Amino acid sequence: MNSMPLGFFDWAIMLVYFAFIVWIGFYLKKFTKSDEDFFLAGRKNSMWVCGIAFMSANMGSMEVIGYTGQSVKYGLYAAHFYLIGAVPAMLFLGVFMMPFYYHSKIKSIPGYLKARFNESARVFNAAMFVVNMILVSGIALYLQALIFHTFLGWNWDLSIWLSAIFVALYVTLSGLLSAMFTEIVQFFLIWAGILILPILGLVDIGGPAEISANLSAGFKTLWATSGNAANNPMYVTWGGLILGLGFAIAFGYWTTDFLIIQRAFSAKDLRSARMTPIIGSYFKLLLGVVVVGTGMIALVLINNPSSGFSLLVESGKTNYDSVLPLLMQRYFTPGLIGVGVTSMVAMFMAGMAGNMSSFNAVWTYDIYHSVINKNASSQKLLYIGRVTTIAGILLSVAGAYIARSMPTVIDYLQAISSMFLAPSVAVIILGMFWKFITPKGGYWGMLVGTLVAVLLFIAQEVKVIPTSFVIPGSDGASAQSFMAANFWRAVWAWVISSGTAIIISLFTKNKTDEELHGYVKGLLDKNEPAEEKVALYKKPEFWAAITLIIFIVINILLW
Amino acid sequence: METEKGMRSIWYFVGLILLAIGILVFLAGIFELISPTVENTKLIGLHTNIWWGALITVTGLIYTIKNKNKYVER
Repeated sequence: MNSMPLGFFDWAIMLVYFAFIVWIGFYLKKFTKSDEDFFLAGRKNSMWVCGIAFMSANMGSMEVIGYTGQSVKYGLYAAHFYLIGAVPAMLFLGVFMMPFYYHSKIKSIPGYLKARFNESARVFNAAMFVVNMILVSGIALYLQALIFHTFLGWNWDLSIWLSAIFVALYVTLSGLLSAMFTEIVQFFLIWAGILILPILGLVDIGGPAEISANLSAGFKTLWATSGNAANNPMYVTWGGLILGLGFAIAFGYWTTDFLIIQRAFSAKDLRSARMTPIIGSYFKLLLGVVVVGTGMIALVLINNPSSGFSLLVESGKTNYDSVLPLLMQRYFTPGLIGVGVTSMVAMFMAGMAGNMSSFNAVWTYDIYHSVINKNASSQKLLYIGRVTTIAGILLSVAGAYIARSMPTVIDYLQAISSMFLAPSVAVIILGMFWKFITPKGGYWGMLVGTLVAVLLFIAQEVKVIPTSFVIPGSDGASAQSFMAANFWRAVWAWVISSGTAIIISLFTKNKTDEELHGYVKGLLDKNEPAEEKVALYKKPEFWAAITLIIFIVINILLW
Repeated sequence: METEKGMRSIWYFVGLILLAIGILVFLAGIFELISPTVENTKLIGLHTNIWWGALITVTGLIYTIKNKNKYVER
């Protein structure tokens, strides 16, 4: 593949972007005086700031570039990641779970686990989160270097180190405040770069009707071909989609992944915190239209040899992640190329800033302050937060070199998430809505669920068990699907975590109602001020209901 | 002093960056119109950089002007 022909204006746009981001970091530094400013952006942000930062933290390069590629591979089935794999969990977080998180004044999800269960649950969850974050950041760093290397022709090592140094600089300056500010700026830049692509693509192929006319049923329906795994490109049944993706994986990511929820914790009041994921759900749906739409346009172009469009093939293997940059090459003229490359850089920065700001919060509060130095002052924690960012980025560079050696990073990324997030969410949701779960029940539930999921994954990778082992009623078709195995492994992790937590709780001592005040449904702290009374159209439930209606209508229309 | 007034609104910064980038994209489109350098790009006749650049500029201008004097207390 040729590198993109960057002209004067394209370089100027990239330079303006980099200068602007560094300037914001320095500007915000003077407003970052305490550890709470650094880690929670002072808890003074509006619902729009939090909602957009929440979505931006999710819009990393893996999400946008990766899922455009997945849309070429799986057709409309990739839209499930934006529908059943996102909307119900986001709404559940905003409507039901946020009051517990927000009222408890915790600084991280492991912090909630300590309050609800015990110190062991907190440290275990924090350690799993830190490992997960380093692996995910390494993959993100690798993808960014791949973009610089492939499209700008830069040296591979230089690309990776430049990206790392830049993230280190601005996250270290002012932590979450800087991360959220730049995430919002980047949110707009990402849209400026990708929103135009499906519009130009539709003009090119001759309109939306061409998509329907050129694709088979398996590629253009959501559910109609999910009765039999052999009939759809993802080789997955509706059971796997609903239980695995919609329940275990989606709830694991959207309701317990501190990376994104941290943005809601920085809200100025409870209503703003609850609105954060609900505002995010609207942007998630729009992103799904753009990402999946762009991928399906590419699919039409690939199926038509006269279009002259084809994906990158390396060593006989199709590189699906090359779709977005290749479409930019096809349609973008000078100036737009600069916006396109900048938006890809912004996706990486938004994702990495999210990874690093949540990584330093969990390390500093849940490992350093909890285990290593319990008497650390606010200034000491602020200092540790900054040092942790540098250390985290250096570890991510190591992770990037590991990721470079992996064959398919996106598949492994989903496998990693299914192992580390599903057991946590099973225990958190049980503990939040049922006071019966004891501290030991919660801790052992997480531990056993994670261990079983990791062992199942390793056994599958070293071929001790077939991929179909975890898939109920597996036939020849679903046995081929790494994705279906990810979905079902998450379901089993959930079931085993919940089962272990319940069984251990039968035999162990629980906390008193007083100790659980504020952390379990029905035991909210009586001293906590009630949510302000507002008009119907300002209520989180109202906006959640509208998203739900849109979600149902889309599923019916594209059935 | 800005620290006494508080912090500038985030939307002001969003406006500034969109304005700067929008102008650059628009100018690139105008230069391309006057002396074309690109041949292989599809849909080149749409001059997307001109109208998309103009749209980004206008959006940036609205955000900048609307939030020029807004400060957030920290």
